Amino acid sequence: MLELSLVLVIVLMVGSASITYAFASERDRAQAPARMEAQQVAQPSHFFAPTEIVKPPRIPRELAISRLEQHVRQERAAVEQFPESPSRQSLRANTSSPFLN
Amino acid sequence: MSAPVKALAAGELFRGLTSIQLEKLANLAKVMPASSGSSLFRLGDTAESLYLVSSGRVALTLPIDLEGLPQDLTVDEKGAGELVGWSALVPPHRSTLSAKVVVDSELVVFEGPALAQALAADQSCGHRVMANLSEVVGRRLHQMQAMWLRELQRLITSKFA
Repeated sequence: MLELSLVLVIVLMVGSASITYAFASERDRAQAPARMEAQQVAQPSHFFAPTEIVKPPRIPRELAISRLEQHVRQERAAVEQFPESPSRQSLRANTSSPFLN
Repeated sequence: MSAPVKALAAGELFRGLTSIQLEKLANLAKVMPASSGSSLFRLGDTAESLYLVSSGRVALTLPIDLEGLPQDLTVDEKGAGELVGWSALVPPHRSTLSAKVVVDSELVVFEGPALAQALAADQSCGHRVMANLSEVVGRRLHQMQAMWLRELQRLITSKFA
């Protein structure tokens, strides 16, 4: 009699576990499309499109030349005394050149 | 003292020469007015003439490409007493820069071979001029070396910082 009761309890436990698992699987399947939609919304819009290249604002050609020449003048001035007094400092000093700042 | 001799005496290339030596060299030179914008030589040209700026200014330029278009970029300017076109005295006698007159100027011009011949004929004069030339060339080399190292240092900082 005791054995029969134990078998009955085990069958009930296994049955209830199966039913719980089946319910959980069904709920996941039902929620999956909603999750996928949410993921698609969260992805960047240009995922498959070419990445937009952000170019620096274009400056007029004359201004660019002027800045380059100013840069060269400042660099020349920075190394003017290098032949007389070569130093590590004169090779590493920062510049206020508008071309680099 | 004639005008060309005065110009030579004030020039960095002819420092330390006697007045007799200056007179001899002045006889080889031509004083040339140069109007603003005129070209003296282009990069790659055979260097035939050496110019001493008597008055005015001459720009030394290098070619760059900016947005796909060629452009001359001024990298140095030479004024009174300074020398332009020393490649005329130094093999392989090719111009490594271009030179353009910035403002109306007066230049003392030597033909390279004639000047070299005169310097060879007077060894004392030749030694002094070549020593002065070495100083000019060496100074420019050291300055360019320092400028290049500064750019290299910036490249290192930007790439490996």
